[in-house]
Amino acid sequence: MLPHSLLEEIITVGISGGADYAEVFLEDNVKKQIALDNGAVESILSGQDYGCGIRLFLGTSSIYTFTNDLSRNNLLQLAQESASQLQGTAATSGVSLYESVSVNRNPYLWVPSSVGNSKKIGYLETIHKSAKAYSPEIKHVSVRHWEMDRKRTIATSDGLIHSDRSVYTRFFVKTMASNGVENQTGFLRPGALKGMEFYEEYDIEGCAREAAKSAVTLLHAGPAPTGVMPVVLANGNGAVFVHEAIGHSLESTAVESGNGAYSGKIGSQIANSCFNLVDDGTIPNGWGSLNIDDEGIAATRNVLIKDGILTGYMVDRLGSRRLGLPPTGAGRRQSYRFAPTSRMTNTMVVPGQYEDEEIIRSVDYGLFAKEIGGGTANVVTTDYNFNVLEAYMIRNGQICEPVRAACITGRASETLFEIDMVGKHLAFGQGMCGAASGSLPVDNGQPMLRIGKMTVGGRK
Amino acid sequence: MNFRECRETVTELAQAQGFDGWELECLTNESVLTGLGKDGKLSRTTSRVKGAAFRGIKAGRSAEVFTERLDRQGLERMILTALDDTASLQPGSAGPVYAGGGSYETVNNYDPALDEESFAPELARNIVQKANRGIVFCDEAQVSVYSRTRQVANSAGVELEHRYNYATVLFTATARTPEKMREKMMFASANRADGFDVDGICEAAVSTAKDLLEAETPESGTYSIVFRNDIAGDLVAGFSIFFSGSQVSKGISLVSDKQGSRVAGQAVTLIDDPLLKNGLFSCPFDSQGVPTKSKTILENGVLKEFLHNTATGQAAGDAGSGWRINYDEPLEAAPCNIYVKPGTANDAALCAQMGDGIYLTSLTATFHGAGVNAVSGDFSMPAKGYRVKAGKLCGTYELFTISGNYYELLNNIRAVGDQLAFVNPYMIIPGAPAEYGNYGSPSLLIDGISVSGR
Repeated sequence: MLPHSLLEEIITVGISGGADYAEVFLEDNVKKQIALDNGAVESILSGQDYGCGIRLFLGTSSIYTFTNDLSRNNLLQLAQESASQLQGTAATSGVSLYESVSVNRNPYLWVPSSVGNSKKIGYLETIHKSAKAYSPEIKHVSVRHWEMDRKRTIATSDGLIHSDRSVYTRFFVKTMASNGVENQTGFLRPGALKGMEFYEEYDIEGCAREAAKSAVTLLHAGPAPTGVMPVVLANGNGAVFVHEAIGHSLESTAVESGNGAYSGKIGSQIANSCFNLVDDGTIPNGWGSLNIDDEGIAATRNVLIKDGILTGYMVDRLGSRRLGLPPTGAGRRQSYRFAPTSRMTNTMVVPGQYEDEEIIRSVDYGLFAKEIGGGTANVVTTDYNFNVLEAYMIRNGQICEPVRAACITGRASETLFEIDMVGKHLAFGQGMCGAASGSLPVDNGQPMLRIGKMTVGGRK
Repeated sequence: MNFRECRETVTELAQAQGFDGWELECLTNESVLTGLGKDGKLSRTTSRVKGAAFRGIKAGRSAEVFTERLDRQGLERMILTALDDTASLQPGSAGPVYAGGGSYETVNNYDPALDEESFAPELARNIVQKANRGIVFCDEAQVSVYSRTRQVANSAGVELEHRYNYATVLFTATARTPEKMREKMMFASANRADGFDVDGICEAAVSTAKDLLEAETPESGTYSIVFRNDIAGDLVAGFSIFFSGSQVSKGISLVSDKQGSRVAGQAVTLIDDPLLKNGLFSCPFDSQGVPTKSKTILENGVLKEFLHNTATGQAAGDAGSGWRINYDEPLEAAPCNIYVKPGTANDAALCAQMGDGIYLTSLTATFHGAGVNAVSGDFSMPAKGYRVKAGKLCGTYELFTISGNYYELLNNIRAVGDQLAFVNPYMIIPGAPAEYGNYGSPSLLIDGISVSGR
């Protein structure tokens, strides 16, 4: 997008203006989404993000500016204005940049933008038909294809230029079951860091039936009970809980102020000893995987909790300066319109020793949370709240009737000690995580977990 | 490329590709985000980004394409992609291009004082000073100033421009004792530099955080609740989607066929007014260039009308509510400044009318996909507030969840307060709200809310 000589000029202006680190982030990002509504193509939205972010550090202070006016004059002026705010000591030497080539762990076969709309619509129609065929109670099916072809260049005053291309493909299927008086929904959204071959490799019809089954089940479900009880989180999408309630608290931005729940607690027991947590950006084609992060650092496998003991944080470059810890390849951003910050990639609970049946059998009365939806978590108090999209009661060691409108609430710092059984079978659920540096693809993985005591909020 | 050059290039390219009609919306978003720590350290993020959204219509089909690459190459790619995409759509699905001829009101919601260099640091400093009190501390206050220029043109010769700006404030007051820590995150927004009641918001944050140190968890059950006005707008954000023409035309909204019927408590009059004085997003025209006007959606609980863009409003002969959150988001039939019309009772009177219940001051997970299911209307949100006994506040409550269904909640609104407040726009991309609309309400007294606590 820009010649190397101009990147060198921008960085030199930043450094000579008083910054002790300068970074230029360039992005050319082509996107498309196609919406099929009840079998008809409702809309197609295509587009191109195209811009540049300039970031300067002086010690632990940071200035960020971004623009899509990529003229030389504008970029040099922005670098100069930003540097002047830092009030540092000017360096005298210029910067020479060398290209760095990263290993591509996330190969793609069919670049989505090279595949015609009719092929994509064909996949959506297949998904629609499978969902609709599940039951006459399915009154509405929305299916959406989403693709992104993201090209990045990151040049830093460390002297390197990193370039990367990431191709994402995903679909959403949302079903609505209705009896005319009330509606219930089922929703799944699988995806991968790969091309259109994703549709060929994934069981798209099975996924559609699952979404339809969820909506129909909920239409006939009674209200969830209220109270404190054992909760079993299913593998896969149940991991949203771990992502929100624990993961965010271990990002360096959450701990660097010293007020975070886990600030200064490396080496401390923060969870039951059966609990192990890893953030791994190196899983080939994982939805949250990276070759390099948005600061030009290679992705890593980062062990966060080992046998219940806190062993590490997810650290970006600024967090590294503030915490005195090395960066872990966790600096991510939605686009050039955000300064990067520490974020998760593929976060997973390490499998344990129990079969799923053993875990269910161990509960006399409790809730089986099959699909968890959105929620919130507070990184200081660790208070959390999650909607359970699909849930069932467990009675006498058996999964029984479905219940709806359940939510789980509590304080993660206490709940982590209540996790007392970890299953053997790891599964992932793909999501988009929204935080300070925007909305990012993240994969959440976990085996089945039993939480001995959790607050369930229902309407009964 | 400026807007005129962009419009001329799009006109030439769209004609060459045989489009029957087209719309162009250019948005220029500028933002200055200022953070001030209690140590006096200042941080700033500045931006100026411009993008174009194109909706091209051919043979009754329309596709939307956006670009941030505003040179000839970028625009050519945009038009050719639109041409390719229209061929994949259903014939007859396109909303028409607005033909023009309507008159536009004058809306002035641009305050140059917000752009002054000293405005944000002074406001942040003032907040940090006033929110650090005794056992309550505030590490940082963030003040963001957003300016947006909306420029719209279409193939019928419509050409419009409107510029507005506003500022938002965000800070957290944390009350700390050796044993525990409780916090209150505060948002405020205004489109005038003198529109922030700093003393009021700091006092509310500090006292709420302190009061929560003594909070208990309420017993589970069904409660009457007064939602304080600064959070009641979140409820409006939750249920207003039921009145979107997009939801209605698909038959997803359960009030699709209820025009003329009672769907809410008699106390509820719901208005969407894009011309609202001091409305954050007020604009004399929508993203399609259609003149905007105030619409009464619910009047004394009776459903009067829906919100339409030119596609969803074809049958009703209505439009003017076609909005994009940003140029890279789809055009939707959505609200602009939507609010519940205030009544005459103050909060003390609402609590007195309630008798026993909860006076709610904090709600989270209020957005669709988190605590709210936009299709079923089910909601479940963590909350904090005050215990109310015999109409008086006595003690605080935390660690509980309120749940219910928005369709039922609308009918259970018993009374409305006298002071209208708007909730802060939820922002992910600087300058581009993440949700359609600016949501407001006075305090609301609502019966039959399920509370999950002890």
